Amino acid sequence: MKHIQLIILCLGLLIASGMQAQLPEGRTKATVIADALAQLPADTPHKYNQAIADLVSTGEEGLLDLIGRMNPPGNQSNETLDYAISGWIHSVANDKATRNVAAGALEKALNRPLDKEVKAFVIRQLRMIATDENVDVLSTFLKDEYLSDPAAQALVSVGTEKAGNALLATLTASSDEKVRLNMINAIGQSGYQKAEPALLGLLGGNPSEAMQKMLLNALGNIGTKASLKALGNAAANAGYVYQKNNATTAYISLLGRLNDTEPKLVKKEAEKLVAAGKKIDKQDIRIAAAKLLLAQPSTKKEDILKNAIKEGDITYLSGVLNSYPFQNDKKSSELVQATLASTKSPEVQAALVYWAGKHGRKASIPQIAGLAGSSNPMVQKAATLSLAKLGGEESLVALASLLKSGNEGTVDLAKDALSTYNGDISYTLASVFENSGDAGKKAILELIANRKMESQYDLVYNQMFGDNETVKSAAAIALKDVSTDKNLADLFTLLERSSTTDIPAIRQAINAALDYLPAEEQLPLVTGKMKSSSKKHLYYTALANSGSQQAMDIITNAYASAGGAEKEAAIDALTHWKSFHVIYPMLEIARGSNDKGELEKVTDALVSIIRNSGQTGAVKYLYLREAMQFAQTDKQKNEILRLIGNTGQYQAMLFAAHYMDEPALSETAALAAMNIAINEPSFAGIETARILDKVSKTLSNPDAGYQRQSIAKYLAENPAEGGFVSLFNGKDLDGWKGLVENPVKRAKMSQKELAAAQEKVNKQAKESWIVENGELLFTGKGNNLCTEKQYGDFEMLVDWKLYPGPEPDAGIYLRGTPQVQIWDTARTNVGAEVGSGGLYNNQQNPSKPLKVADQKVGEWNTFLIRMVGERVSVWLNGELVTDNVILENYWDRSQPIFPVEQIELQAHGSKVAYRDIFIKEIGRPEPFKLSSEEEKEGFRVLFDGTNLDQWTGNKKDYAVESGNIVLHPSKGSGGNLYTNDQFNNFVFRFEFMLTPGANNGLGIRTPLEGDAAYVGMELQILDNEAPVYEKLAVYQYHGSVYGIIPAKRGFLKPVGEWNYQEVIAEGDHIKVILNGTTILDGNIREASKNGTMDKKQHPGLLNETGHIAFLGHGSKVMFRNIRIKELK
Amino acid sequence: MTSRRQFLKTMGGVTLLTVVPRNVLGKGMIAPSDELTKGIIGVGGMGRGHIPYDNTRVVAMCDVDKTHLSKAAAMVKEKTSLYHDFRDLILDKNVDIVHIATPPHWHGLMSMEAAKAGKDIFCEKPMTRTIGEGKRVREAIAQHGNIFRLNTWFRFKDPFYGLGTPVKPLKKLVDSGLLGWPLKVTISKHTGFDWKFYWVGKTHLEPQPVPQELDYDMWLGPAPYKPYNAHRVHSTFRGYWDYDGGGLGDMGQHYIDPVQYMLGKDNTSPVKVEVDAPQQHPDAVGTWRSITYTYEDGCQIILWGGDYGEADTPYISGPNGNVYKNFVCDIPDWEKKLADFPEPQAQNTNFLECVRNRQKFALNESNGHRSCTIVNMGVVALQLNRTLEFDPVNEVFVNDAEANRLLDQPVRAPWIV
Repeated sequence: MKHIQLIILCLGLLIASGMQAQLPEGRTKATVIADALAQLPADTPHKYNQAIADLVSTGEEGLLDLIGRMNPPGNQSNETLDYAISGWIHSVANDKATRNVAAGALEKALNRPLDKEVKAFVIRQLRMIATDENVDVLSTFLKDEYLSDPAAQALVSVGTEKAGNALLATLTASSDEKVRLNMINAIGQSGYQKAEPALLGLLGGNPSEAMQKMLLNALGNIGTKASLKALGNAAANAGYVYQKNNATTAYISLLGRLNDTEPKLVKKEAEKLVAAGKKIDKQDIRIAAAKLLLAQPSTKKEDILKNAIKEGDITYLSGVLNSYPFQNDKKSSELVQATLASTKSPEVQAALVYWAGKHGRKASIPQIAGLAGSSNPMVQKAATLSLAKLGGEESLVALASLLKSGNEGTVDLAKDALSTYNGDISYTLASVFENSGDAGKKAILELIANRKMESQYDLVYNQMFGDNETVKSAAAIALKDVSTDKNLADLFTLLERSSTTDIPAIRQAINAALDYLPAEEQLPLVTGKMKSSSKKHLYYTALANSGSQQAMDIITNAYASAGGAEKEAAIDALTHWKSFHVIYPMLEIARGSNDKGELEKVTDALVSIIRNSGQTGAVKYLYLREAMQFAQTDKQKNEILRLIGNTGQYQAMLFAAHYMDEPALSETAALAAMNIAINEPSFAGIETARILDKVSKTLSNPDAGYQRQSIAKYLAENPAEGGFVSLFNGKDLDGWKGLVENPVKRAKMSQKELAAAQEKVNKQAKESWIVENGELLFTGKGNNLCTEKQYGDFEMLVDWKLYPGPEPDAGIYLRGTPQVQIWDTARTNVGAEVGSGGLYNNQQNPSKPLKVADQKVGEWNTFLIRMVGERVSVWLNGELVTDNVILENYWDRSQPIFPVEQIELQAHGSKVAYRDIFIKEIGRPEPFKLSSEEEKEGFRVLFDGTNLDQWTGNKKDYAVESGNIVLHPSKGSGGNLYTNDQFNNFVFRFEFMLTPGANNGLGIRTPLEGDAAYVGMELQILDNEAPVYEKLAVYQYHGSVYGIIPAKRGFLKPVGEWNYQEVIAEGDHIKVILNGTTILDGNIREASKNGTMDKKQHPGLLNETGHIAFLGHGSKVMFRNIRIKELK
Repeated sequence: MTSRRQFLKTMGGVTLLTVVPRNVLGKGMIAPSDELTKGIIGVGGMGRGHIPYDNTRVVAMCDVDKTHLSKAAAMVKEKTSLYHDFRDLILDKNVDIVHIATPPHWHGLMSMEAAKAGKDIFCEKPMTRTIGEGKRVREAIAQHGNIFRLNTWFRFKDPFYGLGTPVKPLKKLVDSGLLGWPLKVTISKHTGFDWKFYWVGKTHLEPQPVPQELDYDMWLGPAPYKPYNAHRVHSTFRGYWDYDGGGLGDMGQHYIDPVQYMLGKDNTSPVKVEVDAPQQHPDAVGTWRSITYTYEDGCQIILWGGDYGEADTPYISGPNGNVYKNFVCDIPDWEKKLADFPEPQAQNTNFLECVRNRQKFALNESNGHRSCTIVNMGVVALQLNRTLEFDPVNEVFVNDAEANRLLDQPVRAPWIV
């Protein structure tokens, strides 16, 4: 795998470097630069490599050209140039030849009169690739107050002798304080040692505070023995403490650098520092000095350690221990061990114990075990953690014995340590159990549970019969973690005998044990046990564990008939049901209850069932909305809203947004609506924008600032117009009408007939379709309800509900045609078991849904229907059930579906409810048609906005979108799109729209292979007003016969508007009319008689015939309304 | 004169032996004499959030923007020393712990200065803006024996972000070996992480007059001098490479540090970083599609930007199983299998306790530097738009001179990093 990647990488590099060798496609440098700039910033690594490789191929001249175009900050943006130049520098940094070219060009540019900030930019670029060869040029800027800093930093990056020398020379020559500071700073960073005498000289000459600091630092970094005295004095003057001038630090770093070469000198100084640090109680200085000493081979390290121990300062001692070279130093290790055994200082104990634990000093376990009983919490914590780290039997026993302590803190420490102990701790725990106090016993039971020690089942079980409540309840909790199916008999007995407080835990244990058995074995076992029990309700949770329908029935029946504890047990069992079906009995309970307490409980149960179900967002939304009706507390409502925010449904967003007006719920509601909106760009539109605007104003949580920024970003990137609109206002039938005949028959009716018939059915519709509680109800009698408006392509959202009855059935007519099917899956006699959402009346195309996604009859369902052209997709409750299927014309099977028609809600003799009906129309362009004049003249259409049937070539990057051909160059240029036919003499008319800097071309009389500009003829298509095309050759302007005849510039519409162009090719005569102005009118044979303008061969220029083509140049361009007339 | 710190040292020993006062004060309370003090550098939005952190008392604050400083001063009841130059705050004898809540281009420098002054340090993420600065902070702290805490906490507490679980059980699962090895960790919107792509810079900044309340030169400090524009500073600085690395800089260490811990990579770094991103502007940070890190043993961390990546990606994927958001694991019976294993090693998560007993904090200059290195590897690879190889021992890029120039950037006088 790695190798393959490496090979690919190498290949990539080869290709890239091959490209650098010559200009791409034989174009001029100006064109290459312009083309590449139009690509930047490159969106993909591939484009980036290509565009930059093209740029690099233009060499020094190209880079100078780019830099020459840079504007001073505040004027025009340099964005594209920034990308181009930095990309160039990054790409050549590791290639000597091209790097030198680039560095050379940057140097030349720096010698030109540029704005100082532009120069600073160039110097910062040069810093990335500069070498010794660039030192001279960089040096010339060292004296410039503004540029000396970037220039000096570039020299630091070069880091050669010559660079150092240049810095030093400037330092000596300059009297400008700021320049000198920059030089000293750079010398300090580059480590140029020859500057030492000069720096010392300056230090002795009473420098300013800032300069003193720079000098001290630089000398600390580069100084030799010669600097010791000066730096030592400075540090002493600073009292060996931190000061702004950094004297002490500089001194210590100098000592550190001299430690190998001048050990004796350093030793003397370091010892002085250790003593001085003690005097002023500055342990950090002493640690730094001790570190120096400990790094010296001849030091008596043990003395340092001994002293640190003797002094007992935990900061110093820890510092010494951290830098102490204990390897192969048995003596020191023994010293630590002996000290551990003898010292009384808690600081020393803690430091040494931590150290021993960290370094795996098993020999110290006995001492540490002793300290584990310390009365000092710091020492005790260190000891327990270290013992757990060190491991081994002895540590384990020591930790376990702490559990016997009466001190809760001690027991906690031991428990935490034991939980991390690597190895079997069960028997050791068991052995100390009896002798432990309550806290210890509780800790042991928790540890047993934590590691699920089934071997300790008996120990846990036995505690259930004791009198000690603390221990008993800990044991009860642990029981579920140690029980298996073998213990079931025991556990059932326990369940019957136990007091109510222990029962939930025992039930959990029983369920855990039942899980060892398959579901079908669980049910008979539990029901068998229930038969002989007088407290049947105790077994409900065990029944629930099987998850079977039979068990559910037993419990729901019990709930309905029983009271008190039995009722409680039943609802508890239902709440923890494993399958989602339990939602139905739960809803039934909720709908039948008026008891607030009961409703609160049931709501909790409903929410928990929905939350933990793996249902789709759509289904969760439907039931959360139900649950909201029963919610009793703000806490419940907030939780429901929070969950609704994760469902990703448009209706859910509206539902949540509604609660932004309730103060106790507003924050959660706003978050929920926001979550849905910003995760789903397809919901964008007026309504969503309005909601997000309100969300922005409502949010007040700590992250609100971030959230508002996300919202702003979403609104900037997505349309704030259009989107879903409501078809049903929840109050009346506004926007709806009755059904008159079918579309075919209606078309044959006169307007008057239709109006009369319409009036009649509208009256009937008002009786059949009523609005109740914001829902649209079909009573079961009457005819379809139709939208007043007609729809072509659209997305539609609708919630629907069937009511139980003899034959529940309904449907949605799309474009006046039956239908997206809705029915009761129980009606197997008519084949309804396939589910709803199919295109029921299809004969040639699929009519059945892909899967059953229906909710139970009596519950809400939600459709998302998308119809584009003659194809329909349906999502039922979040599941795709109809996948882009053609809807056949039921009324006239010889015809395709009507292009536009009304939407209808079907009446099928059973009661149905609808709510939340939304529609979003999808724009559908009319196919382009020739004007009558063009038709008469003999034009024919090559592209009418619907298909590329008359075209060949790259049909992937050139796609039809909203009636246009859009070129999305996926990689490189995007390639070419050719007409199928060849044309000799013709009038070609088309429209095009450019993006900023866009480049394309119209090839004519070209073969299907090769660069059309040469093997045929290219009429330039180019945004030649873009700044990147400032320096074009005249024969490159838009409309030019590329390289041959220039066109007039200045007649393009602004970018983003459509241009209309006509091209007339008649023999050698070519004419281009752009937006009504003739911009080119010439003879190609004449123009190329004495050689071409671009001095290149154009072998295909005089081709008799060929294809017409759009020639991709890597930019997004659009075309439309393309037609042609052939001239004889 | 006895410094407050010295007083603390001597008194501290006594109080530790006397158990009574603490019990009297109740759990979690610290006797006033035992209370550690802090000074906060940078009291913009983030820094003001540091005022109530831990059981410490604010005694000093510092900012180069007068408006920030006066806002912060209004939040503290007791008398507080207010500074303009952070070195004055570091010099303040009353300060035990220096909190650094400035933009990242200052973190390295200030940490080092505080270390030299013998102060303990509480530093915001990302730890440093370059890999080189991180190395030197680590060195400085080793030399002076300070206690350093990096302020992200997901390696030891809180369910992090959209993942829905704290890291401890994940660590236990990884350590158990049940998932197999090597592991691939995916940090994306789909596993619960938002890269906050609104932290992008503007590519065309008009020079503007510097507002009176701001010392812009001091705000820039070691960073290259560029003309002032309000978008460079304060709440939008993350969009500029000179000061931070966009959403990756902001959130990267939060998201990646727990992964380093989980994978047991605290002492090493990946050997390779690959980026898939649009070209980056040399000054303004942009967005990216993915950043992939590979360790020597084949473990990988994959960052998906924006909406990229697969919706059903596991958070951790191994040869024997996957872990998804909310700790959903697809290994049969994993809970039971996992119970046999010990809990992960305890971590020192009480910073004040660490300060008192001079132990390294759970997230310190050493492992903090390593997780920040991953962030900064990504930053460099993004800037260069190419795959980089890294040597985790010497902490340099392999065969890429330019990348190595970004390891460590020269600083402006009179600053020293």
